[in-house]
Amino acid sequence: MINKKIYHWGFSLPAIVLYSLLFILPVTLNFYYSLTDWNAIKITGEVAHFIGFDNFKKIFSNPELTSVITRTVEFGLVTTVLKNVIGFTLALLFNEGLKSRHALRAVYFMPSMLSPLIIGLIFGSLLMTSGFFNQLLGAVGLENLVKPWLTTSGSAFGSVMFVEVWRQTGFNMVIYLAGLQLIDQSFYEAASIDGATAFQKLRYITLPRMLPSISINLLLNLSQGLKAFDIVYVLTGGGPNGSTELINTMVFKEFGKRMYGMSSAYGVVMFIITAVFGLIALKLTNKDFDS
Amino acid sequence: MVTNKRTVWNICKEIFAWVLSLLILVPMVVILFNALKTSGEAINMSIAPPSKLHWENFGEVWRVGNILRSYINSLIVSVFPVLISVLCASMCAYVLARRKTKGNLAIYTYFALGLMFPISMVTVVKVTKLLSIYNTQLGVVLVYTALILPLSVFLFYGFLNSIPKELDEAAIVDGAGALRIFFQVIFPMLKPVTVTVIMINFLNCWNEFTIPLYMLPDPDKAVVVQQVYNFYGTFTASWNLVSVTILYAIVPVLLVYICGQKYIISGMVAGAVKG
Repeated sequence: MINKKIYHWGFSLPAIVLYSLLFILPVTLNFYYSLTDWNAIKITGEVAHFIGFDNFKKIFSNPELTSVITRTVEFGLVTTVLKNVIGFTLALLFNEGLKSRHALRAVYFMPSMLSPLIIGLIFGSLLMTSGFFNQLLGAVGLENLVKPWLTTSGSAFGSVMFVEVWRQTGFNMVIYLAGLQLIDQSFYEAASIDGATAFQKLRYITLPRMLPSISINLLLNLSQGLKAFDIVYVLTGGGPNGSTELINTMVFKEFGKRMYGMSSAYGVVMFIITAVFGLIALKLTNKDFDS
Repeated sequence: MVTNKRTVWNICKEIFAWVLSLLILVPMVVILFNALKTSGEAINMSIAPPSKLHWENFGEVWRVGNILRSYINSLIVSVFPVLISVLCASMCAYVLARRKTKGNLAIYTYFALGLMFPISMVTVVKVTKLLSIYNTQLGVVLVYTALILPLSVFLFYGFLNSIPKELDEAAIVDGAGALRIFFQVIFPMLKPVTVTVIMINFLNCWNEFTIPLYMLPDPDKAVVVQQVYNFYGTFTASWNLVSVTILYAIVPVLLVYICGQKYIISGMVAGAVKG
């Protein structure tokens, strides 16, 4: 009774209202509009007719559009794996021992504080044909590798993934450092007495205790990777020949064409993929944690 | 002997780490150097230091790029969402953490959804048009607030669980009302996590590009990041000036980062791993 009065439900109301109105409501509406031909291509104004699953049929029957989805999944998975593997290694490296570890942590964490758009612009300039990266290749005698990295179909997608990994690896490192610092040192001491090798300690002490950190990193990285937009938008704009087009850049493209229904349909595809991979990540990490 | 071997190994690791960090530092140095060159010198964005320091580039971009106005715009749409979200999220998390009823747990999960799922901008535009806040700073402030609430609630919730409930009970015995208990007893104790929430949310709002891209077509309301992008479109031939705008956009972020590094990192840690 006292609880109800002191922890009044009204306290939670403003947050719930704002979040529901401008986050959840749009997401819900998006599901409805994905089933319509909502557009504003005619001067007479906006129209929206219910057309069932036609938008989705269009997406899944055109191989070029379907490949946008597989590419988005590839982008999400590859960047997630790289960010985590490198981030974890850096965390192990900077956890203890090194004198300048605090400065190193700060340097490696910095990129994740910058706007993805700005990072895109910086790398856009470094990776252009005459840019710094190619100058460097020339200087060390690898002239044959010099190419316009962002406008060649073969290298554009890899370059974009590299920039995304560059941006977020430090963030993963910090989460892993946090996890490492929660591990009780006595485990390692006991293992040392028993004569465990460094690898055994990593496998049997560190990794199992890092599962909560791994879980949160997988979730955050997957959701970020699957909805990536800024970096691709500024680095390649989806080109060349659509070879770096992701779902979220398609959402914006269809929006720009005023094909709002189609844009919503891409949004729904992105939502579902995020949900599926999020659940898989949760299942995997939780299962290991219990055993 | 063993310690010696270990020191040598550590020095090797340290050198390796610093060499690898060039991957992060060199791009920054390239931008800094080219910001001080003439446009002819900066055409290839090389790492060569400028032959003469052209500080006037900063003045030129400040005027042409309307940097002051975009700073003000960015501040408006970063500060207000941060303030609103701190207030709303702390109050909400307080009730959710203190009264763990089934309903409240469901509300907590409801907020957690927002951590994972993408916002759908097309319908956000629709909703804000219906509310007549499309293409206004108020609209962007409210959308940012909605977007950062889940993480804020999550961080406050984790921290509140570590504050003993006996404190509230003592205040109840003293006869304090619900509002007074929260604002005079609980809220001051939330200071560490509040600082973290402020820092993280401020940086996220300041760096946001997608939402202004959809919601603020009006060039007078452009935020810094948008301004940099527009500038890049107009001045692709002048990499020196583009570099200057990039610096204008990242210097405030770096200042916040340098001042608040401790809180940003420790807060992410507390919220993410323990929470």
